[in-house]
Amino acid sequence: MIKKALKYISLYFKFNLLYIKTQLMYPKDFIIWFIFGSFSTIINIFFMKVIYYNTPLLGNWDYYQTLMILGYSSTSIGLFNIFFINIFSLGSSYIIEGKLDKFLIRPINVLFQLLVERIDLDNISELIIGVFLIVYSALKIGYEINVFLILFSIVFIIFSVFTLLGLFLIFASTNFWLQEKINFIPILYSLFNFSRFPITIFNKKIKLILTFIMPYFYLGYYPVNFLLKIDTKYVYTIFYQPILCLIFLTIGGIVWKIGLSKYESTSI
Amino acid sequence: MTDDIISATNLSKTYKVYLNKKGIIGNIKNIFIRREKINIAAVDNISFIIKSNSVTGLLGPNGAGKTTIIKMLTGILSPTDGTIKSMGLNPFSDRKKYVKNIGVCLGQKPQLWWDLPVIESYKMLSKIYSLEEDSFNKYLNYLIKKWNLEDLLFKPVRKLSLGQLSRCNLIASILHKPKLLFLDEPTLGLDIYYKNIFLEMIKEIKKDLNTTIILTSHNLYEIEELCNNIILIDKGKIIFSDTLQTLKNMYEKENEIILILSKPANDFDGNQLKEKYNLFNIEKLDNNSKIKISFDKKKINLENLISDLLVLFKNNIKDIVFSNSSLEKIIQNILIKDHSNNIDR
Amino acid sequence: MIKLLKNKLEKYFSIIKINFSKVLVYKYSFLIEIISLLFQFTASTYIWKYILENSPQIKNYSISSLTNYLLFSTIIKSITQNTTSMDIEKDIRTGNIYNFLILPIDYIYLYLFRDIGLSLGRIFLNSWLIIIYGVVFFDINICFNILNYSLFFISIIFSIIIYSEISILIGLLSFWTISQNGLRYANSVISAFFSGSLIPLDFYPDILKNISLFLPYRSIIYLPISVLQTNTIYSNLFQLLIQFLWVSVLFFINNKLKIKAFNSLEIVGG
Repeated sequence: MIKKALKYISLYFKFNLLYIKTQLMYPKDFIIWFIFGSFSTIINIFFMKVIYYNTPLLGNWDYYQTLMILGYSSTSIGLFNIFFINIFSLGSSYIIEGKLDKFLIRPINVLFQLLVERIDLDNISELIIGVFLIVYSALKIGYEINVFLILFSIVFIIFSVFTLLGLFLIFASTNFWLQEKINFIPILYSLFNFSRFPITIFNKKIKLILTFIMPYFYLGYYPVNFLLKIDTKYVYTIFYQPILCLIFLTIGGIVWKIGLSKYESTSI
Repeated sequence: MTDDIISATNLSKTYKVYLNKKGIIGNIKNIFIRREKINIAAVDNISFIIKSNSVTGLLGPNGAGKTTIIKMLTGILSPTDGTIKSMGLNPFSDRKKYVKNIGVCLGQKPQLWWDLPVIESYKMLSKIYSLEEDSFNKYLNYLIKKWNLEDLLFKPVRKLSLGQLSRCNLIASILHKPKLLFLDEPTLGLDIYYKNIFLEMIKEIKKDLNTTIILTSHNLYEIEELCNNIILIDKGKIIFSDTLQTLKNMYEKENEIILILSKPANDFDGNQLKEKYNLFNIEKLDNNSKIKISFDKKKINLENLISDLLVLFKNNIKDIVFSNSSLEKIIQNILIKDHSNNIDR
Repeated sequence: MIKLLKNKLEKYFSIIKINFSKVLVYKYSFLIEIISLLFQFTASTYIWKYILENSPQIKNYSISSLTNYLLFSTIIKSITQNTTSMDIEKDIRTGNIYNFLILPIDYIYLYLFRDIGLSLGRIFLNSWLIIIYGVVFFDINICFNILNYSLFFISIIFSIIIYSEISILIGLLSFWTISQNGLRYANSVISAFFSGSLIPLDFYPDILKNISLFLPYRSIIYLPISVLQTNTIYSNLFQLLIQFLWVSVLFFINNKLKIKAFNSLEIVGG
């Protein structure tokens, strides 16, 4: 059992190192990608500026505090896009074109192979800018950057990434049944729009849905609210996250398994 | 002593297909009213045995069920009915264990990682199959030297031409020295040069590893070169399953001699010759400058026929062409017969 | 002469018709697109509603006109989005473009009319869904002024054409660029930024506002909505004129590019 886990971990590192090595072989392309990749994050910052130009506070949050939310959100999303982006292509190409077959031929886990098949360093700019924003806004707010902050951030960002994985897995797996008819992934990406702002501006229904059913508020708001303690009602909501992460990963894994066995019985 | 490496009994694969209605009103109906279901049998109650160390060709028209059978034999697809026992395991339910010892080379879907250099894909595969490093390296070097792949090793897969890709893909499928190798239309789209190289590779692999090979192909030359056994499939059923030689013996009937004449033989009447030798047919073609004679080689005295022809057309023969019934023709005939026997199947 | 014109028109009209009916076939993926856009719309509207609750006006926009702006921005986005630059890039990359050279149809018109057809179809599918969503959940006012709406409709047609032409331009440019997705991604980001899709261009600092005047993106979202929201007919007609100008300029550029591209194709030979 442990031997198996070790094998997978070593395979995973090998893949990652390999991809990074390959993508760094073309430094010119990489720089172009870095610049382009940062555009959307920079635009997010710009709009944050425009918003705060027209109002001193959003809910109880000022500019730098909301910037910190943006930082955590970008970091989590950036990480997710680097390592798990291949799940995006499950419905749109792997299932329809039968590419899952070549995974089934090999004696290792199919989902593992799917996720590992593509590692997208293009999104590293999102990650780097995100971390920069966290540090920058923390400094501006006067929040001390200590070991606790670093550990806390790493732990809960990782939880965020894996919760997203579980969530995306649930919806991507529906393509085993729906095939090319409906693809839910664009909707899941569009919900990231909600993850950059303090939640007090939204109404109760949205707060409930995006906290418990589609846990996007954990990407940015809940961790920062815990650190800065601005909205006292929601300071400790962050601690639901590990449980939610486990739930979503479990459900995601189950739906995936059922979907895969359906693929194996009616493979296209 | 060759034993059975694969045995399939009463194997079936049925798909449920929903009938969709068309048009605006049809689309709305599709959402609310339950749609009609029909069952389509892609593979219909077939049984066969593959002997170890053999090369079996799986033939048949498009949509006959060949790919479905290969998918079931490789554990990718679950049968609706029946059992498969391959190397002592059930390919579908024991998949992870089973797959360690089989190699699969799908013509259109290469195993290699698109952006990585070929050698990295090979190394990855060696880790995936848990191959021991030294023996893997030794075997890989042996293969590379043998097939002159040194130049390709460090190229990313997306930069390879189809011929190069196919060869690298084949190597990838045998790195773990599988006992069973499945090839699904491996030479599709290859030019003549690479087709031949590929054939040579398969022959050598068989010699080196003593693998049992199952091959689907539309290229009958390939089938003739490689296979001992043939399974012919049409509409999900097995029409023929035996050795290649038996196939030829059973069906080889039509042989032809074509005489190309210097001067047209306008007065020639072939009926006498036809009766004498009980020929199938004698025709005059191309304004009587060609004579085509069709007969069953086994039922006539060929030597006498030829001497008679030489006498009849003395000083007039520019060229003689002998053609035996090709595998293609034999199979076509079988299929036509099968269709006419089962018009309403 | 008239017959030739008639034949041409029939050809292109049939392209429009076929793509119009594609909306039925792809209804689910279009619905998903709408839902994605509506999420973005929801987030934005909450933010600006919150801000405007505390101040009556920002840069001449009241709560009602701003939410109205966001709603119609969403509608226009949902109508104009296309895969054209990706498709053209694929054509060039796979060499499929040769198949189109053989046809007696102008390559640019082929994609332009395809986009027009698809967009027209989506107008019928999307606009009422989005409007209902806005009215029900956000109390957005839609006041019906027939003159404004007719001008708005013409303006939207121009928007569709301009967006399509830009996509074709980017697609054709892929002929000379090495990086596959870079140009498209940059274009989509710059387009989102300078078209006023997320907030009206009036909110931008002056430098950026001035830059946007020289780019065609402004005519895609900002101009049509200002036509809708402004009551002075002369300024509206002027906006339409600007749009028409961009339609022509882009058309001219695309044609030049196309000729250049096809010439290079013949030299390289595939």
